[in-house]
Amino acid sequence: MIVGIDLGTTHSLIGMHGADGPVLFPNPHGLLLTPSVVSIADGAVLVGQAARDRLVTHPGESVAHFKRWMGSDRKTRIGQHSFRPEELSALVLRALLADAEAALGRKVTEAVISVPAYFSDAQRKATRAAGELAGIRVERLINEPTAAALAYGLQQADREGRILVLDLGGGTFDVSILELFDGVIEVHASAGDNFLGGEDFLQALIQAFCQDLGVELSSLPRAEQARLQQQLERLKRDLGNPGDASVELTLGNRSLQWSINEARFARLCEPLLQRMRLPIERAIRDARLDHQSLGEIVLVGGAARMPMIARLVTRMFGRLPLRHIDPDQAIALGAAVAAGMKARDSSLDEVVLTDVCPYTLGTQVSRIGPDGKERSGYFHPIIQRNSVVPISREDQLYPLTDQQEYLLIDVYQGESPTVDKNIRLGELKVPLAASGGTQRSVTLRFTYDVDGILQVEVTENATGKRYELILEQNPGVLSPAEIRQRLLALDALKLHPRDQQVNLAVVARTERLYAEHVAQRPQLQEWLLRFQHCLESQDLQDIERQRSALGRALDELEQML
Amino acid sequence: MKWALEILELDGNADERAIKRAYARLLRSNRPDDDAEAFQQLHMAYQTALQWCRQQQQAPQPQPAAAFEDAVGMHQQAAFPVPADQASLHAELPAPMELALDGLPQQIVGAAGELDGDAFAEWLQQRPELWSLSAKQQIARPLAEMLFGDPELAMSRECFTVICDTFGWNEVDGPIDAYALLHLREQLQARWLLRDANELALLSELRSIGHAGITLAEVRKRRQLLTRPWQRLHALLRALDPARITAMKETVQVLAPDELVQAPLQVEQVRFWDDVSREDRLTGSRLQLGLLRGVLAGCLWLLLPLMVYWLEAAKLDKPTPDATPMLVLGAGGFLVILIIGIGWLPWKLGLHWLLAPQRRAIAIPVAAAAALGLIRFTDYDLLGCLLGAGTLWLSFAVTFREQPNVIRFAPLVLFGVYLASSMLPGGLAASYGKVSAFLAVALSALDSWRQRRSSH
Repeated sequence: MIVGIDLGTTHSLIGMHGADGPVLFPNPHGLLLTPSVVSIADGAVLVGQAARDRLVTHPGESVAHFKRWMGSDRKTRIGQHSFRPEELSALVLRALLADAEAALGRKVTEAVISVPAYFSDAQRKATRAAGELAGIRVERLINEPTAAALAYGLQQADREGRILVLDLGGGTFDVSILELFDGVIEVHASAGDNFLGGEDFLQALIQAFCQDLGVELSSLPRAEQARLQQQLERLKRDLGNPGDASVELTLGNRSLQWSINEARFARLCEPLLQRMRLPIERAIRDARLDHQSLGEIVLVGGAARMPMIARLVTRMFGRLPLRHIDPDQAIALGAAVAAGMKARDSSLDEVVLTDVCPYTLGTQVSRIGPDGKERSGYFHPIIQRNSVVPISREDQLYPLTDQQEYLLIDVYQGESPTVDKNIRLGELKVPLAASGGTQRSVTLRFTYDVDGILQVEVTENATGKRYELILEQNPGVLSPAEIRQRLLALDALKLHPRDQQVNLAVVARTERLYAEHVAQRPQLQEWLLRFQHCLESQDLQDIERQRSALGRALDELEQML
Repeated sequence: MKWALEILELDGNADERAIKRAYARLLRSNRPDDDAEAFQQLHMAYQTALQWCRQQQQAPQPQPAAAFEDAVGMHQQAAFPVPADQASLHAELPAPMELALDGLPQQIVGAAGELDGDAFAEWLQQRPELWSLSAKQQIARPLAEMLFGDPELAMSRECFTVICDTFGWNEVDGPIDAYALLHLREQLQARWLLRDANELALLSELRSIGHAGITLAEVRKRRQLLTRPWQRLHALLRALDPARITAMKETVQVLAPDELVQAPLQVEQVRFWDDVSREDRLTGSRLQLGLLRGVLAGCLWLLLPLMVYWLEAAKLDKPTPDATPMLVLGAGGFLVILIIGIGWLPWKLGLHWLLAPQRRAIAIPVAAAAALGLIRFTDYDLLGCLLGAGTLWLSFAVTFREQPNVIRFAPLVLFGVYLASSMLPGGLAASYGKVSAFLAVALSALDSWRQRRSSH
């Protein structure tokens, strides 16, 4: 039993490959999308919609967007606890797994998790660690655009041709070029930007808002910042429809109104669109394709709903993108398919997926520069980006002088010809044999597997001694011992039982609305008190009746405003 | 080629379709996550076969109908339904634009020459032509040809980097060699700095490599020195000031990188300042400068006998003095100074050459042996003594060259040797020479031992 998980910056989903293709599991609220937000309420952990509402009412105890910090050792304090990004992701994974287990009626132990194609080694390891911290084995990491293409490719199983998948999620942007034929889904090239997503478009909107109305964002209390963000997030969604969109809200003692149209929003986001062009162009160059031979352009990811993204595609390619699959669900569906393939589902026997390594991996060398002087700092690629994985490549390295006693081998990832602009992954010091003349060289072998994990092996040619570099000495990567220790710590944390989460979510939502709308406060307070009183009675039927009534009332209220 | 077809179980007349089908079939039993090696081999065979097949049918592909309406229209009629929200999208599409690409490369380099980095990046962002992939593809080559071919172009480093970023040139495996780009960038930047309008940029560039107190007037002067017509004497007179030489060296580095001289710089001027500033090379210009310095110093010296003669002659009661000793003194001193002026440089360079790390382990013992030989076998004890003392001094200086505070004690050491040798039997000069020579050899041995240790 392997599940597929889309662990997103803003939302996460879980699914599985069943007899009739991939299916997604709903959360306790009956929704497929679970916001990737963690909050601590009454000493117990809360994940999802309720946690997102608590961002407004209890900003000090809630946290969101932690996927952006994956692979770093940044710690976040919420309540009395301090978490690493892996642990926060693990909490989201635990909530998702509980949903899957509720739907399936049995324990889930293995999963395929999707990651942005452009995630680095440390970020991938952090995602694996998050899975382990959630108590599951991560069978495979699948690149997000590949997952989207898998979902799309299966829908169009009889089609052939090259497609371009643009995946603009909450926090990351990925581009992949794929070819479909005879059940083969072959990725030709991937590129991306790990710090470009729907959140950045929201930030542009927030900045414009603050500038127009003279609001100093950093001077606002955290609760008001969170409220402003959520209101403008709603405004951003409204901008997808024709016409102006407006927002009204009270900050401190000021009551503010602001409206904006799509054209202005697009102008504000022009620099972001500019940043989207580079990975697209790079992917096309790397696939060695004429862009006109691309068959279809598929948009996925929630943020790809913005009309300006479709316009960007039109401006670049002179044609329209396609949106056949729900952009929010595509990746999760693809991850579910990948999980089915991993579990050897017989309906997927005909499908084979080949993926690529999205970045260049290499080492640092010294070389004679244009001025005739010898300089170090040149990047020497071993595995070129967009090589089909799994891949293993080797190269010979020689010492600079005859007296040299060891070689220092640095491993870098990146696209710049000089190493200073690339990411350093690790280093290895290899002693050289004292004599040997031309034999004084080493063979450097890089092996990159389907999960995106790099192995570096150095063989000294004279003696045949082998050395292996394990890329673990990174502050952003947890060691196995640390993972075990933190797993115990996480197990000790109390989670709100699944059946109570719905009630908590309604309470959180009412509290958020109370904070947002001053005029309706007496009404909301009364509702809240009545519902809390009902919760204390522990009469399940009454609670359910009251909950759905309150939910409807809140819906109406929100519509009205 | 044959091995690839064999792996794919195909014969020689397989077309692209057949290759793909065979690959797809074999892939099912060689999945990438099961058997990495078998998959790699299969994939390599597939790539090779595809490449071969495409070369076989080099028949040019018919250009897809480039007209914008066709592309959009074809899509709309595709066999699948278009969701409702896309219909509205279609309404907002910009009208198909005839993109005039003819003058665009010229416009781009023009703007790059006029604007600063950020403004140029913004200007480039707003060009609708560059958003279109096909237009970009068409422009990239002519633009590169223009940048590499036109010797008049100029732009700042920042602007050039923006262009490279936009067209994806500065990446691993980019279409243009990274060194060539670097070279071009410096060349363009140098031309750009030479423009009158960019004096301030030149000022800040010079301040960043030289000292911070450079004024704009000084920058203008340096620029003028490099661009005015060539006059040897004038240049030599300027170069008498050592500070001027260092200043011009920096300027030449900025304005003529990689020894490439571009108008309006004068080739002779640049070469002159470059030659003069090279400490490690014996050049014509440096010898001329030495000669000029010698002549000037000699003239100063000539004043002395002239003054003496004049003072003598002023004494009316004496007969007219004999001019000969004065003449000999003046001319002799003049010649000595001139020889030092000209010979100083070759002497210094020769010494430098002798004391290079690979030679000094031999040169110093040889010099010491020569000193001992002079003392032992000839009567020129004084000469041997001088040679020995000089060798000791040099050997002391090279051995402790990285410890300047130790070198300060060199005169004390020589004095100590003097005291020690005055107590020794035999002539003072002879024993001084011997002790110095032996000490020099000992220091040289210490130096070679240290050299060997540090190389490990």
